[in-house]
Amino acid sequence: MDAPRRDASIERTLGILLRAGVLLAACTVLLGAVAYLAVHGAEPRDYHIFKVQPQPLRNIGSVVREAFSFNGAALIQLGVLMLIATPIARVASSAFAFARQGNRRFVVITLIVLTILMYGLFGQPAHAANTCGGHGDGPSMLVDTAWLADHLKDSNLVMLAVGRKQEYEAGHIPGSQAIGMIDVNQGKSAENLSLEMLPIAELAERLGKFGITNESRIVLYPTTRDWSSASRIYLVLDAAGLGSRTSILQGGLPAWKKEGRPVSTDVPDIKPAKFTPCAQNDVVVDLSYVKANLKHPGIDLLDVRESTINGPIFTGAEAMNHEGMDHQRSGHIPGAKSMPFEIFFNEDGQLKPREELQSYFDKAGVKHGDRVVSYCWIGQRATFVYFIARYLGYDARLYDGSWQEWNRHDELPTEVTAQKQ
Amino acid sequence: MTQLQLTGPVALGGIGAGLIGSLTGLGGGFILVPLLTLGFGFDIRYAVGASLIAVIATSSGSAAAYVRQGFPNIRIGMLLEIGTTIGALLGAFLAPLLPGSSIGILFGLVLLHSAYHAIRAREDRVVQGGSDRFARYFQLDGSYPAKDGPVTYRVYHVARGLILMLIAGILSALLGIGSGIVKVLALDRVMGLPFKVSTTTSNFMIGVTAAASAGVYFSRGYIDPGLAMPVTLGVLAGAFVGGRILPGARTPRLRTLFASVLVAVAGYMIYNGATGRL
Repeated sequence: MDAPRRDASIERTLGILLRAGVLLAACTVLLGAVAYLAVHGAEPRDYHIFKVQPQPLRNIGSVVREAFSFNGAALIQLGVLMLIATPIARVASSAFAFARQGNRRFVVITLIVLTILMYGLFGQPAHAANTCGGHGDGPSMLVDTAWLADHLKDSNLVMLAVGRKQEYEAGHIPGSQAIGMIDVNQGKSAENLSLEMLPIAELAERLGKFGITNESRIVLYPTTRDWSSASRIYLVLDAAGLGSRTSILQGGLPAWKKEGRPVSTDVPDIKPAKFTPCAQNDVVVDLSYVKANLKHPGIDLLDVRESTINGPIFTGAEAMNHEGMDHQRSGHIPGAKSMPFEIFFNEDGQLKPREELQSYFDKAGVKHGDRVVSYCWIGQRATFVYFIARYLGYDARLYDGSWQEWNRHDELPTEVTAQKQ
Repeated sequence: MTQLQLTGPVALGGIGAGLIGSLTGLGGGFILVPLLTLGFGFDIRYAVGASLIAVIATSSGSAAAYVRQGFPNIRIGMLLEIGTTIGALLGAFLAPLLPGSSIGILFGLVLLHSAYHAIRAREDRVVQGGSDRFARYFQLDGSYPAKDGPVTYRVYHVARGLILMLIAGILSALLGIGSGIVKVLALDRVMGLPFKVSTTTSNFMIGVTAAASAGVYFSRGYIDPGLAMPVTLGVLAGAFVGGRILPGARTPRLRTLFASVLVAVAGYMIYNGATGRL
C-alpha cells in the first residue's frame, strides 16, 4: 500500500475539524446576519465606492470584544475570522498527525506552512497604520443618545462637549470634558488665515491632553444646536487618523437633556495620554489644488456659505461684508455649487435623515464616486459638508483657506450664479 | 439599494458560485469576482476581499466531503502549500500597488489561458517521465477509489509544480480567486495526477492559500461585513450541495462544464477590462 493511503487517520481528523470549523463559522455569520440586518437592513448600501473598514472591524481583539456585545457587524467579522482560522487549524493538526506517525519530513514541511500563515494574519508591519488612519464609515459617524447611554461606562470612551465654557459648566453628560475650537486649531495662521490646522505633532500632543490614545472611541457632542465647531473638530481628528474612531452625537446636548438623561457639573479628572498620530493627507486641500481642479469632472466644489435674503442659495452676486475678509470681492470660486449650511439641520439641531441629505447632493449634481471639495468663509461651516459627504459615503476634502484666501488673490477668477436652482 | 435588498441577490449569486466552484474544484472565486464587479458594479477590492472569504468557505466546506472519500493527496498538497502561501503573501502586498482595471484585465487573461488548456484536454492522460527525486523522497505516489478498485498513480515534476504554485498563490491574492485553475493544471498536466485527485487536492490547498492572503486583507480592512455575510452564507450553501454531487459526476462532464464556464467568464471580463468598465 502506498504511503498517502496510510494517511487515512489524518484525513479523518481533518474532515471532522474542517466541517466543525465551517459549521461554527457559518452559525456565527448567520447570527451576525440577523443582528446586522435588524439594525442596518434599511440602510442604503453602496459598494461602488471602496472604503477601508474602521479599526474596530479589522482588529482581531476588538472584533471579539464587540461580538460579545452582540454587534452584528462584529459577529459577521468573527465568523469570517473563524473561516480564515479553519484552514490554519487544519495545517496545525496535520503537524500533530504527521508527528504521531513519526514522519519528520512532513512535520517540518507542515510547520513551514504554518509559520507563513501566521505571518499573514499577525505579522502586519506598521503597527501605527493598523491602529489609526482611514475614515469613518457612514453609519458609525453618527451615534444616538441611546447608544451613548449604553456605552457611557466603556473604558476607552472619550466624550468631548463642544461649545462655550459656560454651556459646559451649566451641566454636561457625565464624564465628558469641554473642548473648544482653539484647543485643537490655530486661531490665526502665519499667513493670517483664520482657523487653520495645527502642525500634526502639536495637534497630537494637545489631543493627548484630553486622554485620547490610539485605542480611544471618541464622541463629540455640540452643547447647543450649532454643529459647526463639532464638525470642524471631527475633521481635525480625522486628519490626525482618528476619523474611524470618532462620532458626533445626533442632536447634541439639547437632545440628551430633552430625553431627561443625567447631566453633571463635575469636571472629570483626565490623565494625559500618549497619542501617536498618523496624518491623513486626504482631508484638507490647499489653494493650488483647488486652482488646478476647477470644473474638473468627478470633483465637485461646494460653496457652503449662507443663503442670502434674495433667495435660497449663495450666488455671490451681493458684495458681502463678511468678518475676517481683508478683501471684499463678490462672487464664488468658478464652478462651485451653492449648498448653504442651514439646510442640513432640523430646528431642534438634529442632522436631517440620510435620504434628505442625499437629495441635496443629488440636486447639486454630485455623483457616486465623486470627490466633494467644500469651502465657506474661513473653513468652519464647510466642515458640515465634509462630515455629511463622508457620512453619505463620498470622498471628501475641505479647502481650509476657503473664501478668505481665494478672495485675496485678485488674479484668481470668480463667478456669479443666477438666483434659481 | 438598501442592505436588505442587496443581501438576497448577492446570496443567490453566492449559491451559484459555490455550486460551480466546488463541482470544478476551482473555489468559486472566478465566478464571484466578475459577478460582483460586472454584475453588481461593486469596487473590485470589495469583490476580491469577499471572494477570498468565499473561496475559503468553498474549499473547507466541500473538502470535508472529499477528504472522507480519500481522493486528495494530502502530502502533495502540504508540500506545494509552501509555494502557494509564500505567493499569497507576495500577492497581498502587491495588490494595493496595482490599479483596479489592470487587475481586471489580468483576471481575464488568466481565465482565457486556463480555458485554452481545459479545452485542449480531452481525457485523463498519464504524464510520462522518469521517476521524480522529490516524489520518491517524500513518498508522494498515491491511489484513489474507482469502480474497479483503487487506481494507483505516480507523481512527476515536483519542482516545476512548486514554481507554478508560487504563481498560483500570487494570482490568488491579487484576483481573489482560489487559483484552482492554475493548481489543477499544475497537478493534472505537469505533475501527472488524475483529474479527480487534482481537483480535490487543489481544493484542499485553495483554502490554505486563501487564508494566507485573507488574513492580510482582513487586518487591512478590506473585508466588509455587509458583503462578506451574504457571499459567505450563499457560497457555503452552494458548496455543500456541490460536495454531494461530485462522486456521481463523470470526468468528461466536469471538463465540459469547467471549460464552457471559463470561456464565457473570460470573454466577459476581458471585454469589460479593455473598455475600461472595471
